[in-house]
Amino acid sequence: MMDELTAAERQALDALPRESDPGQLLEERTVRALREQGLLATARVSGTRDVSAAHVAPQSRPWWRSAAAIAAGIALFAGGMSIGQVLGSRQTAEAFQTVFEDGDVQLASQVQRTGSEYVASLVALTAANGATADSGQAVEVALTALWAAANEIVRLAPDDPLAARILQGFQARAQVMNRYEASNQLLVEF
Amino acid sequence: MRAQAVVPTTDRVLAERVANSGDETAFRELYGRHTPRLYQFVLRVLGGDEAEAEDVVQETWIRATANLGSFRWEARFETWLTGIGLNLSRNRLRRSGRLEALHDEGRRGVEPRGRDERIDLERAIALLPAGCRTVLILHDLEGFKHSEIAEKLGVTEGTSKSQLWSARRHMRQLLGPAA
Repeated sequence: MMDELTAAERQALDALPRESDPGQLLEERTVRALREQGLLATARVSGTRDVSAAHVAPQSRPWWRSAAAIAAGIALFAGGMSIGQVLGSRQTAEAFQTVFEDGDVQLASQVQRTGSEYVASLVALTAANGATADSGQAVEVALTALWAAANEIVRLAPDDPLAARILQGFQARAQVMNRYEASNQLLVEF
Repeated sequence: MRAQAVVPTTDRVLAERVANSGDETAFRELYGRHTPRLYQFVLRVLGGDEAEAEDVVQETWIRATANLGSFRWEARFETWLTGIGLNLSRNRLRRSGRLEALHDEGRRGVEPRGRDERIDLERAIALLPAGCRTVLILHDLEGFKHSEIAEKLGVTEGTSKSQLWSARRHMRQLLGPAA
């Protein structure tokens, strides 16, 4: 008595999606967990797929890459990434409050460190914006710190929209880098 | 002018990079290829709980990465990964009391719908008892045979068939015209 599906039922089942994107944050969370368990090597520059690829890039970067990094920094600023807004984010503030109410010294310390990383990153980015193309590495370091800090926020407040926006900014930056890498991989013969 | 295409790296090559040197870039490539399907599958088996599905996907990748060295590549990587996700999902369902013994589950009905309540197919699947829902997903959506389902779930083929029948019956009740 197998009671086969009707054609309409079969069609409806076939129409259901077989794939669904869980979002970038899950990827970052998974990579972090794998690193913590020693299953992935800790990259010098970690984060999105393309940011991590940056550590294999040659030391002498073309001027425009630094410019792109600086532009990404400006875009992040323009996107509303200021310290006041970070602390003003409702969800982040609630997470901070919970941490302190729970009296968890270790977490509180981590929050403090996260804040310091943000400040350091912003200062470094500001400095890099006014510098020459040679400051590309400084920008990379600042962005790495910023990425790490944003991840800390996401860990504390997974639904925080601002932290998610920062990570999206990194993704956009990575796509710019990716296009450059792809154009380098394309071999053209005349 | 002729452009030379870049040949995509196989799952095996990427997996070996991850297993041998913890290559993060290779991992992210593998993750990007297989997670959308894994996530959708796990999400359905768990009845639509997104947070739980994300936890299971993460745990699946951790288990898979830790055991890459023991994978023989006799099956497709995706199939192996889905198998891990299925086991982890069932463990969660079992621990939370949502997975009854399959032969008991078939006898239990589904919550009756209200007179005017109509639901879509995805919702109907999510409302099925967890065990027969899993069989329906594996058979009617993922295309596994009863012999394969029986092996995956540790039941007989007969149980798999009766659970599928039960799942389809429940699903029709849920989707049928309001009483």
